[in-house]
Amino acid sequence: MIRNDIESWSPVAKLFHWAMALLIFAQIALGLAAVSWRISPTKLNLFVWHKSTGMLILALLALRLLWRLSHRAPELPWEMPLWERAGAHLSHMLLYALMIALPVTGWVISSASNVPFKIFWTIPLPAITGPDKAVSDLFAAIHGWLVTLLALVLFAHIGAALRHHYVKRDTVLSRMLPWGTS
Amino acid sequence: MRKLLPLLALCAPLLAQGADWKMDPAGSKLEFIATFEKNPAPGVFREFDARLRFDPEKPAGGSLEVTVKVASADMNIPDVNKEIRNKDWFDYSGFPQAEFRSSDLRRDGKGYVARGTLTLKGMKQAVEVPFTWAVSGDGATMEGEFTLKRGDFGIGLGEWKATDTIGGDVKVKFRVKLRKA
Repeated sequence: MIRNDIESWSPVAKLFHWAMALLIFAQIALGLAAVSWRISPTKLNLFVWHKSTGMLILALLALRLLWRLSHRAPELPWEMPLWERAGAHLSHMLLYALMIALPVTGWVISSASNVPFKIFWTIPLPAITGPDKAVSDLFAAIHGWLVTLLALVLFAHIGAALRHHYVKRDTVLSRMLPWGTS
Repeated sequence: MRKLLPLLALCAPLLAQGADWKMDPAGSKLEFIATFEKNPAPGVFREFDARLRFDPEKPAGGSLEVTVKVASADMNIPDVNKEIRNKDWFDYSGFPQAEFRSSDLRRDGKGYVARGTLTLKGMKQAVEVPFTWAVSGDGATMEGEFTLKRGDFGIGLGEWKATDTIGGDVKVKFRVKLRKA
């Protein structure tokens, strides 16, 4: 019998996953530092780093989605119950949605607050909304709620991966590890 | 001769120093363009006044005086407007007014230059203000731009003295509409 399911994620998928993981953790740290820093040149630079990283994440996500939609994902272990499959799909969908929604709401805040911005001090980012204090305040609140939701989903994502590895002892985590095969 | 004397007296200052001009605030604009993280960050002073004594044919006898209400600065970003009033920046309460007084006016190429002293945040610096002159109907418009170093005037103190986030050069642009006084 020929098995047409693939067992492991390809090196490209792994690169996308771990690069994004690294960027997201750096991005959360930069964002928290930027908002809590007292007003100073450091604060302004932290915001440039945070906004630039956000745009990098958005660009990387576009490539990742193109790649993901044109390639087959390895199948989940056959013994996984339905609710776990549903949970996995829901959390992955949420992660993708948040990886779009967080940069986009950040872009709105930046545009509405009328602060000029160049990605990594070089590429000017066009505004997607006009200057408006109310819009910028509203989207700053939304951005904050979304990052809280992201923290919860990441907690579930990492928790589930560890459970697959250490409790259920299947290959769901190891097949995504950079050095893992299946 | 007795009849001519008052007329001569009236004309004398005109001949010597040119006409007096008053600013029309509606058609006038005073901008300053700072840089923020390598982006232009424009602002305006909403309240200012210019008085000019000027004869385009004989600029040498003229004079230019400009007063600026510093607290009328508007950089169009609420958070920034809140900051620039502080002691590190314009210090509105300590130095509410800036002024420029020319020491001499002269022709320069197709335009003119007003040399003088700019007093801003209590600091006096010699500056040269180039401008063009265009007459229309009974009015005239002077326009020009020049660049200042904010550090020369103590604008941006402490850690803001560094010019990597907020640039050191600030471009000043003006368009002043004038009517004969």
